[in-house]
Amino acid sequence: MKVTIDWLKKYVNFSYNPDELAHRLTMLGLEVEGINYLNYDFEKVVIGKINNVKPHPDKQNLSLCDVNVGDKSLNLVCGAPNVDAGKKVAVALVGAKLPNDVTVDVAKIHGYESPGMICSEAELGLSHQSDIIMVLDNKAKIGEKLENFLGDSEIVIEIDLTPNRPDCLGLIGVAREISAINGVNIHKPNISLIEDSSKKIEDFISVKIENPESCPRYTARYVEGIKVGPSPRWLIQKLEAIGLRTINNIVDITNYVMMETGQPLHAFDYNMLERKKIIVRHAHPKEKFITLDEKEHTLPQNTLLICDGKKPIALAGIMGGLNSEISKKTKNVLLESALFDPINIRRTAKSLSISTDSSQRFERGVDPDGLLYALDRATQLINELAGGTIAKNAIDHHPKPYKKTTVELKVDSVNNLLGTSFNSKEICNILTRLEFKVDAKESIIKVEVPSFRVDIEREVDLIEEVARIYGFDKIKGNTFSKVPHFSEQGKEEKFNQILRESIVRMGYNEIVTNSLLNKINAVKFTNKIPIQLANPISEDLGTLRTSILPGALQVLKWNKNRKIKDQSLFEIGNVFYLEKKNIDSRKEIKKIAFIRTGNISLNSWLSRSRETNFYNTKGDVISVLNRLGIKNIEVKPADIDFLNHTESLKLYIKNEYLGYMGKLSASILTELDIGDDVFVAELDFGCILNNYNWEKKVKIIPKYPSIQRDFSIVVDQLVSWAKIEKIIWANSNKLLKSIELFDVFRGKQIEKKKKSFAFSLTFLSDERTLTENEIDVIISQILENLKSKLNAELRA
Amino acid sequence: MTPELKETISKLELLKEKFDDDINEILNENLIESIRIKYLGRKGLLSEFFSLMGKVSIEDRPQLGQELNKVKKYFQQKIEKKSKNKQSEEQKIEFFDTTLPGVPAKIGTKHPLYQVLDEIKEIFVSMGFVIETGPELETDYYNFEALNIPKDHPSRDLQDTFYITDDLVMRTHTSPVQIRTMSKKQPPIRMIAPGKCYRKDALDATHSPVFHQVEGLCVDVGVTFADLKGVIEVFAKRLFGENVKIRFRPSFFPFTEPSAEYDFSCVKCGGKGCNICKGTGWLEISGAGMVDPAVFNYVGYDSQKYTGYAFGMGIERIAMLKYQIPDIRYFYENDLRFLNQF
Repeated sequence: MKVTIDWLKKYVNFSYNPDELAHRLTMLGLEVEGINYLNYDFEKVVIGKINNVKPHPDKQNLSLCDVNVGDKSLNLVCGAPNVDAGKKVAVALVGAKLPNDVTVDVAKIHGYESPGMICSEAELGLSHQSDIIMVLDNKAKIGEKLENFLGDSEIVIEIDLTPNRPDCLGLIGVAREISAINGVNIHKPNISLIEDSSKKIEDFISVKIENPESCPRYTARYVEGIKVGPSPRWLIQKLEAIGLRTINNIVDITNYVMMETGQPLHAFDYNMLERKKIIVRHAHPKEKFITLDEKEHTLPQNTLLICDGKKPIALAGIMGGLNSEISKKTKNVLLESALFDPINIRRTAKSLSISTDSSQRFERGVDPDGLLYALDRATQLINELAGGTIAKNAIDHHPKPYKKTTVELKVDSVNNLLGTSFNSKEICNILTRLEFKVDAKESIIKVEVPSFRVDIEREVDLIEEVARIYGFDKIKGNTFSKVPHFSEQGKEEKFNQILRESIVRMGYNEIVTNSLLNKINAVKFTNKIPIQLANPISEDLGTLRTSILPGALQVLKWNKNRKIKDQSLFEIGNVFYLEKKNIDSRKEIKKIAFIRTGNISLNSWLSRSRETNFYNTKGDVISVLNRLGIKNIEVKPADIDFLNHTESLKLYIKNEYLGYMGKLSASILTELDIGDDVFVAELDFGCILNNYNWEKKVKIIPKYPSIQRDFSIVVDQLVSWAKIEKIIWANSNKLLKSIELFDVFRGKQIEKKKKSFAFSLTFLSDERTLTENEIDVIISQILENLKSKLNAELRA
Repeated sequence: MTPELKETISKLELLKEKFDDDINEILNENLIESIRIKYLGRKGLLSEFFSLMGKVSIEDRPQLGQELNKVKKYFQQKIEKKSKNKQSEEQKIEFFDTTLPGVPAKIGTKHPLYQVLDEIKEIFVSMGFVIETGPELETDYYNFEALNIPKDHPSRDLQDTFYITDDLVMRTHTSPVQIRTMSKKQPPIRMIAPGKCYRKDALDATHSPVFHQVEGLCVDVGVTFADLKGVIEVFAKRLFGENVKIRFRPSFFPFTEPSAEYDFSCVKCGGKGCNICKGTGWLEISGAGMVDPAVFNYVGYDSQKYTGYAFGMGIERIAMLKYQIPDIRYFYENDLRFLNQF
């Protein structure tokens, strides 16, 4: 919503400068987005009077004009149809610089020199009117600078209105807000219509509302014998300043009054109505209609139409029809001021993707009691600017009469909600300034809500008004809480912190990626059914991620393209998918993903780093889990499409699936155009959380020395380490505390197709010093079993 | 102690003194070995005492043994120390370049958005707020309906929504967590709900279809607008420093009444006006207000008994202000040259 300061001052006096006004409005809840200064300084543009006009001898549409510009007369060539002797016009002299960057020079036009030009409004940047010259009223002084005549520049204030304040979609509403804070009364323009009592409106038009729930009230007036033409300068200047395109005097007046009162109006060319009967009804199925922007629409269900008894002539509250629009030929006007159901207008406008100044106002709710005022105001202006005679009376069809809202306001409620200490008088004072009628009895105030405040229905709405006008800033913040509260950080949150901290310590960078992605990417890392957006921005952001990996890999690529080779990334976030085909089987699950490529540590002059491998990532994952007190992790081979079939595994805790890890398959890497090995893991956050050890209890540090024995055994190369570990554990008693593998070797020194494992076993008792003998017994048992079960030989 | 033992020990003392004199006087390091031989050698001065062991009475033996071992250890340590000094002095001759760079350790980073979020959580937790969460894929009911935003409400225009079906949306704010929390708990409630949100905005310098919010809610008997201002004031000062001022101005949200937008004084210019605050001296942070009674009706709270306030804030916006990040896309590109600065 744009307003100009000059225009506002027609309704309320104030002395705020533009910045101050902007601040005041913002603090009232009418947020000012910007202040624009429209300047009217023209160099060398003066007011002239056309003394006489001669047609150009050769060119039909050109005129030769003798123009008095004060100190001299100029012979100017002009192409506009409306040059007439006696008119006062704006003349750009030689050397004048116009807003469209034209510098006026002596022009030679079809054999005639023109030392200057008579300007249109478009040439002066005042409006879009380009086909006719600008005509000034008689007050203009010949020879005077145009800018002096136009007066001060317009200061345009742009307000970003919240949807609850349709009353401020008219300048009178904004003026009322200013009046509420500076105490100066607003003055609405007075109306006095001269009606022709011989012409009764009933003889010209009747109105029937078929769907009163969509149109609770319809008012109309009839003006006969008007003259359609360009609007006067003041009207054009006002409308153009706030960004409205001027069309002709009738349409401009309806717009002007809409901007003034907030009530949208529509003018029909009466002669274009086939039957003189307005019918307001819902559209028939698949009914078609051409709006005045020449677009044809197939109307959705429940579209409200204004019809002339035979055919639709307007999309109610949204846009008029091409078939009845005001044209130069229009002589008689039917002026409509109606009330439409906000939801109906909103649905239609939305489904047809039309948004007009009119529809925006109806959607938010216009003043149900302001229809006649706006109608009469526009009628009067039409009469003043376009002549004609006004038929007696207005049509006022009112199937659903408006009832005034009254609300009870308790003084205590105000203070209890705001933390203030207003008394009844102060509250009444504020409300009265907003035109609420108050009746205070002790601590209860009966408030009658003015009709234009359609947003006020409840006590709490009134409390907001009190706070708003008093000033949010004047209410002091209270930092002392009356009620003591003890907060516990949720367990999940605490766990989340510990988890992230642990991963960061291992050198990983936390990333955050978009959960919306391309469907092709979304399905690459899952066998689940992805969830699609019904209305995505683009296909690339049309599917919810089923895995964190695709997003994380995009990040990896982004950095790779920027020559960053070594990357360790992790992300914790939700993934989405369907368990079955129906939407009710949807799942939203928190996952944690690791992704690693390049070197395991930073290179330095002292040591070269190695490239990361499967065991690094496995180590990272297991270390984090161990750090969180999760020890009993089982691994099983994984059969996952996007992972390398040998270098991948699935992890389980107590038979519960935790996630997978491994090397990305070569085909995925090619597809993603990534050259280096990438190791990934994705684990279930909830599963880790459920197994997190909340109660830490310390193990007593052993008092007795441990005994460590090192071994090197040779086994067939297909024997897994897990098998060996299992046999060792199975064949030792609780004295064995740990097994540590420190070398895996294949090579010349041992037989072909064999490998050696070197490991140390640590034995410890909490109760006594162990003897070598008792360890020997255990060891021999272990070795015997390794030999009998795996054919393992001690390496010499 | 027998007089014999006493005498032997005092002799031992003398030997020790003599040793100290010898070893302290050494200037030429090569002589250390000769001192070792003199005192600790097989025929050295100390071995003479050890040969006494067989001669003293049985009851004195343990004590003598102890004393002798003590002295022996003392000699050994002194000699060793002296020869170590010698070695290190030798090394000093070689140039040890301490200016060579240390071997770097790789330390990860938390994402800047989540660092700010962590900080915000900490502030509110310290003020007695509990952290609550809710799903990102939300029902229309929780995201709109129960927040007093019916299907045809104009304010649905303000937040272009991603729909999955007619009844399922990607949450456009973290406010649905308010409803979820109130639906399962009774007052008093003091919670914040951080999380990801989605709006149909094309990605540019200041908009992202995915973004993060923190929602706050406090409901109890006697909670006021003044309390809301107080909480936001404390929060602003804790996050941006004592000099930050706050400003509340009226606004509109269907789920609060009165509704406000709150601004912080510009963190860059302090309110004088600069390019960050577009010359206004104020930075728009987000919305807040008193919980609308209609919302209480949805969750079955008695709006005659309880009042409450709610507030929200965008994490990206705050992080951008805090770290002077010029473009929201930085957060989602995850360029390591950016992440490693945090």
